[in-house]
Amino acid sequence: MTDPDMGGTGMTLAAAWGLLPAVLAVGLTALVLGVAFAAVDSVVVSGGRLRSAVEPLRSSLHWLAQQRRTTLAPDRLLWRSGVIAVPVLAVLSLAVVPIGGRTLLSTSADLVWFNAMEALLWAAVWLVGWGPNAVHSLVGAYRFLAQGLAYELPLMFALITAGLGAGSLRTMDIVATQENLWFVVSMPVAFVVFLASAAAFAFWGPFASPAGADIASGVMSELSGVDRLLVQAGRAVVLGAAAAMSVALFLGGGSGPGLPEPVWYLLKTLLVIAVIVSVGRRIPVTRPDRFVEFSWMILIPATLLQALWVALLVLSGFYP
Amino acid sequence: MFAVVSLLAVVLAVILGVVGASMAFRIARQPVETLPYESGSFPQQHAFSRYHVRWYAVTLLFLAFDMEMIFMYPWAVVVADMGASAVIEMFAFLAVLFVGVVYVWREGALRWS
Amino acid sequence: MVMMNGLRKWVLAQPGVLIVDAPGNDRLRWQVEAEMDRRGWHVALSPADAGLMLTIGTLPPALSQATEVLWSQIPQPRHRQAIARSDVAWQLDAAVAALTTPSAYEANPSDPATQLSQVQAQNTANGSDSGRQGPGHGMDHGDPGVHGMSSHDMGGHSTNAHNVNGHSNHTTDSHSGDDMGGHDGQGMDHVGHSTGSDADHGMDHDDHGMDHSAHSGHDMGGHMHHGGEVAGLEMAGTAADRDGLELDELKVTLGPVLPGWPTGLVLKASMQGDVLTNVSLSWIDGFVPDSVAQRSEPGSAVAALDALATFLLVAGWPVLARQARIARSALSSGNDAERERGQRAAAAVARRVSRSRFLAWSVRGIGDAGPVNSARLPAGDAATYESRTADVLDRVRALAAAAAGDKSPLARVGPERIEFLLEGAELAATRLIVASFVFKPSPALLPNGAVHD
Repeated sequence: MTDPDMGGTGMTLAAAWGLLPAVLAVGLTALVLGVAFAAVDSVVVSGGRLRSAVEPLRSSLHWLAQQRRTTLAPDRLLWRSGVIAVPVLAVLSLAVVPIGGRTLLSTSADLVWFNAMEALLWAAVWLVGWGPNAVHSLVGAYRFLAQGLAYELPLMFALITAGLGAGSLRTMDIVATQENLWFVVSMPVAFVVFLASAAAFAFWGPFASPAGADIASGVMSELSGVDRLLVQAGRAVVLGAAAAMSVALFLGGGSGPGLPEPVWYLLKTLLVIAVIVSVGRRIPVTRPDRFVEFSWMILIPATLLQALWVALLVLSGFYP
Repeated sequence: MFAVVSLLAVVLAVILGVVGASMAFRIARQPVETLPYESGSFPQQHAFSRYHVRWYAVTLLFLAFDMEMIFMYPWAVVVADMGASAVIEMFAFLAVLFVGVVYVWREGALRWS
Repeated sequence: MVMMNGLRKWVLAQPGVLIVDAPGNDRLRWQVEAEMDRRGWHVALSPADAGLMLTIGTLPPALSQATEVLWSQIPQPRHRQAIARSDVAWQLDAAVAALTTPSAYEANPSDPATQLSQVQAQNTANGSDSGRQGPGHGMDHGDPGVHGMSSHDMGGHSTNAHNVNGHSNHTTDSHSGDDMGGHDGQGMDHVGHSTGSDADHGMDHDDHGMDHSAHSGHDMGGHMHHGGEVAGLEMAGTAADRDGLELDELKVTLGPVLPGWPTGLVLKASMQGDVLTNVSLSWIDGFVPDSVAQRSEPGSAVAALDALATFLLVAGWPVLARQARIARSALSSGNDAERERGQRAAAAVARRVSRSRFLAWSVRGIGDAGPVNSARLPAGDAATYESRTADVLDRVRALAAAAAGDKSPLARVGPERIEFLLEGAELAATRLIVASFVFKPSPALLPNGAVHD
């Protein structure tokens, strides 16, 4: 599946920088994106207090020092596996996100990889909710699955639309195709749906019902200490990674005047994060049962029409 | 692919490090054993149960569409080469599937509350 | 070492807070919440997220028992503090300081299996098999108003061999008494809660040897009264579903202490999937309304804002919930300019609530007590209230109007009067429905058993 490490755009991050620096760069990027998201979110939730930006750091240290919990007769193996899987999947999804103009993994099916990591989150989050043998947690776990049935298809159509425009599923090809015109211009619906889905698979903001206040924070309700840290970090990294991916897929990657590419890339990613947070925190949580119907009757047709529109543009030779 | 395996290894190592750091920092070495949180009441039964997912009809619909999606990934790559026929065939197929969705919606399967 | 201590203080300076408020202490709770908002502390949505447990006012016995359960579920470092007076800021300072002392690392007195076996013993003794939350046989002593210190909440719940081990903790510099409620009966004598937590020194003994008598492997088979028990707890039974299928039915309890839920309210139901059936909703036993607080009823705008803040939390809109709390705090202040600011803020919150299409789409049509059903409601203020309010959305918009200064008095309902709305509702809908009502305390029992209006 992996292409030979040739030069040019097909060259992977590992081939360009060496394996270890490349892998560490991805890990570091995950950390930066996760912290950036958590910090922005914290500021917005606290009503715009800038000093709240340090709260994620404080909470992380607190969770490190805090005692862990175990409930009565838990499904310990599955519970802990889920807890570890959430951050692992979040970081692995970054393998196809460009860093310094290259991706760690560059295959003919990058988008499928991103999609697969996100799909595996279904299992991970469900396990986190199932494990502790607690009512609220269990309800949260099943809410996540119900929500998944709603967001998964629109997300896939959004990803495919970007691939369709470029005629390739490779992230760097998609970035290269946007040299003249960003995809967000010709596929705005796909862009918005992609960002909304990112919030949904991180069960954050308006899609936080699997961890909703009405079920005592659901899948998170029995987690403390390092377990809570891992899941919260995973969620933040997932959102940060999705913001970075949206820049590659719809906002032309690192292209921009004046500044070097990585700087542009970072700026755009931060902007997307700010937009997600400020919009997402302005609205209440959606209830999965209402969202499923909305998704199937409105979002899926909308993304399909978007795909049709882009397919017609492809036929007309609109994209280079 | 090797790079991804290395990434996995690094992530797992970092998680192990975080867990180790937490063991070093936290003062209570043993996890606290508790009853599950049931708003201050004692639980009456184990929460592990056969949960009635009343949206099971949606899962079937989802599976049908999800299988279709698998075809759509390779399709997206070849549209430019295959031309109009690829687009017509794919969207005709999607239209047929969507008739099914509308039928399911009319039957009320997308609502369960 | 100094640096480590500084770091530890910084890390623990923003704890999650679990609030347990006794009835009739709304004003004190508002002060606490306002101070928390000012400091950026968050409400813990579950004990796992909590570092501080604040009890407000004198807790009735059954509620006191619930705090024991909650306390056993909070991971260390943790601290609990009774808030009885209005110098809230100072008491919160003391509480957060106590988090950095060794007392915050005391182990639980009992493990889950022991707790459960006690409840079973209690139920057997009471001859009640209806639920494990039997009538509380606890005792509530300590009079914080007199002591000026915080030390009380003794909730024992064993009918025989009642062993309550409490102490008030008069350290002059911390005022942070730990509330210890022993709940181990059956002659299992249990002493040794640690002594005072001394907030200002004692930083250097972090690995202070805590002699927590480690959970000696609890005997799984020891309390198998009924068939089908695992680890002291039954598995879910089965029952016919509303579709006529034979499915698992899980007995659940919501309340008495749940974020976004009126403290002391208890919902018991069977859950299939997340649909609740056989719903009963009532105040926990021994709930005593504070007659003074009843008489000096706050302005309806303030009460409406309080209800709105709760509703918005449940509806998953924390940013607006915070604004509602801020408006509430400004409105209930003594300063005229402040109150005027509060009115503007309340109007802004009300506007956003009633204009949000998203909220309308999300909650419309649930908890419909429409014209048909209103016939089932008893006469009186509740009926007039409901006759102009149909579903959750309408009730919330009415609350918003009241918050914005609509003078009509807030109608309150008794919990048992909305049970029919909850029958067959999902868990999420149930929470929204309950949050859309303002409850009146039931004609509750006074401590001597006399009925108080």
